[in-house]
Amino acid sequence: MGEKNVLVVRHLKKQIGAKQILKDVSFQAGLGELLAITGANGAGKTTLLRIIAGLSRKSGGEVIWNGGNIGYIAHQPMLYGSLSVQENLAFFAEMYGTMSQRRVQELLELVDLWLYRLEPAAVLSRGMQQRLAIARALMIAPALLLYDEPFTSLDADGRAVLRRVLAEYRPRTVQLVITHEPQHFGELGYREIRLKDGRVVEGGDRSA
Amino acid sequence: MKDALKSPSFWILTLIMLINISVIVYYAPVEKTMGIVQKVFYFHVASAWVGLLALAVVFAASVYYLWKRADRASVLALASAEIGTVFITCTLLTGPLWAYPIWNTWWTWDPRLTTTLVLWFMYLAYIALHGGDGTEARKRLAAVYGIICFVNVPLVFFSTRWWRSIHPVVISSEGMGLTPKMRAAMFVSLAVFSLLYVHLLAIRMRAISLQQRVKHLKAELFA
Amino acid sequence: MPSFVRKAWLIYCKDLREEFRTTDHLLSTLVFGTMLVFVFSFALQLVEAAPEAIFPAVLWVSIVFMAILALQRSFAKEKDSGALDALLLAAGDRSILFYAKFLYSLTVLLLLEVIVVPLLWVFMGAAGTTVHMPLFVAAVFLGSWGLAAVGTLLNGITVQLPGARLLFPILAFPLFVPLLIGAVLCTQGALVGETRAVLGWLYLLAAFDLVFTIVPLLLFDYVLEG
Repeated sequence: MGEKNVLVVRHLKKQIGAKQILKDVSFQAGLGELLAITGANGAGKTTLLRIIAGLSRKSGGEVIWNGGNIGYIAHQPMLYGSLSVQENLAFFAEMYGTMSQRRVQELLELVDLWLYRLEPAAVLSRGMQQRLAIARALMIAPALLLYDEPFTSLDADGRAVLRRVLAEYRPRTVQLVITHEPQHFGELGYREIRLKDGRVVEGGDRSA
Repeated sequence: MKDALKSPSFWILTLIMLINISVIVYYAPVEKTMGIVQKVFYFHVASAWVGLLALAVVFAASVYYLWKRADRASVLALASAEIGTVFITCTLLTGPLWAYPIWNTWWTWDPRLTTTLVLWFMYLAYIALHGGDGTEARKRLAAVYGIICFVNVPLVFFSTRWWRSIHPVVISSEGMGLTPKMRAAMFVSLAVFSLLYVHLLAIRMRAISLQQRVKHLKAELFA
Repeated sequence: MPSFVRKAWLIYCKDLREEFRTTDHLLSTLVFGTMLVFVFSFALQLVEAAPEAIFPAVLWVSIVFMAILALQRSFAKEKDSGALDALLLAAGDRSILFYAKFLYSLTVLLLLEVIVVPLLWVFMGAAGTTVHMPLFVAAVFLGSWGLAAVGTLLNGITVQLPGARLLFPILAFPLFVPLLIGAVLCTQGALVGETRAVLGWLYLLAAFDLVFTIVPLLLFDYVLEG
């Protein structure tokens, strides 16, 4: 069951020790949707994203995703410092079997890093590393994109690049973005999911 | 401590322990060649047995924890490891008391002695890893290590036994030649020590649970 | 499972490339190993111990110490940069990661040994006429295999606990005991050319390696759960 390319989260729970991080989270997101996940620090936003990505174990409920690869852009850039910009992309693309040299060039041009392709990732600035992390997530031909506070470490140019990516990938992906400042989306339309104390208090899927 | 004095199980266990000691002292005969020192063996073997039993409990509780994520299982595993360490320490201390007059040496690399020592080190490592502070990662990782340790014990035992059997056997710990009365005293001792283990386990589990609860409450208070 | 092997191989190649790009850690470990060899040979020279008798023990103590340094690397560098999460997502199956890191650790360990073992050999003057070379090499290889397997599994455990890196040797030593017994006796047998008795120890080493190469298949999912 589960439609293709629709993300369904139903009654998701996460407990660590005696602490309930997520109590009951339900929502759905279909192709072309852009969801802003908001909420105070410690509301469980990152935990939610990690469970959807498959990096954390859930304690209850379900996550249904029948689409393709999942691109995950975390708070940290998650790069290999001693490998070059290009090698970082190529390694992950080969792991997913989506390697193509033309694509590497396209994406590096999209995030304005083509000039730096031979530099080790460690020498890039924080903002450039973040842009590389975005390119890496796009490199694997994702159908679901998860962003964890992508705007914070980006400057104005970087944020413009990210808006371009969000718009360009919108038709073929489902996108979830954790953010404190949805105003960065500019004129992009979005749906808000506000988390509070491990529950959805705004938006979400009320019918479930 | 006051609570312990009030609990009936404490007094029952004290009584049983006194009976066990009188059985060892008065009922079990004095061994002909080794003399009175042989009586330490009723404590020695019983604590070694509890040490091994405790590791089996650590293993079972660890498997159960990874399967069901029940916090109780993790607490049980930690308590069992701590008590196992105490009993293995007793084994390691009582052994030389007997070995020095009989074998004329405090220590020898016999398979059993080596395995017991490695077991002791594994317990210490397990406790260091578990840490007892109740974070999810430590519980999970300690459970994995508890399982690996259990798998390792037969490897240690067989490798040391094999090593000793290829080399000339200097001292053999076989041939204890127990009389029926001695055997009876041994079984009484094993049973009493197992009861003592269960009793200590219950106390320690409660203490660890309370400790972890206090920690959680403090964390919530300061959050 | 061709995709299993392909992914493991890609990670393995990536790790080696990374290691040789910044050789500081590899070099430090090598220098440490060389110094160990020197310190041991020198100290034992002072008390005039017979080299054939103590060579196997010194060899394996040196290798274990070197391994403790070398094996702590496999997951640590990824954990520090956060790349471990990205790698977990890409690998899908966590045991792929174990086998890739195990192969990488074994390769690094063998590379270090290729330099350190002959040095020890020369310093201690252990070369006799009765040495059975294939057996000696087999002992070193199987011993290193076991060290790498246990080390990779334990490194997966210790990187998850920030500030607990000191735990690694404490967790490792009790598990190394059976391997150490087998490896030392096997090496000794190879030195004096006692091939018959040594075969049993080779089987023990192989059994140890097998156990700690298969057990992670069941347990590694839990180790890297997060």
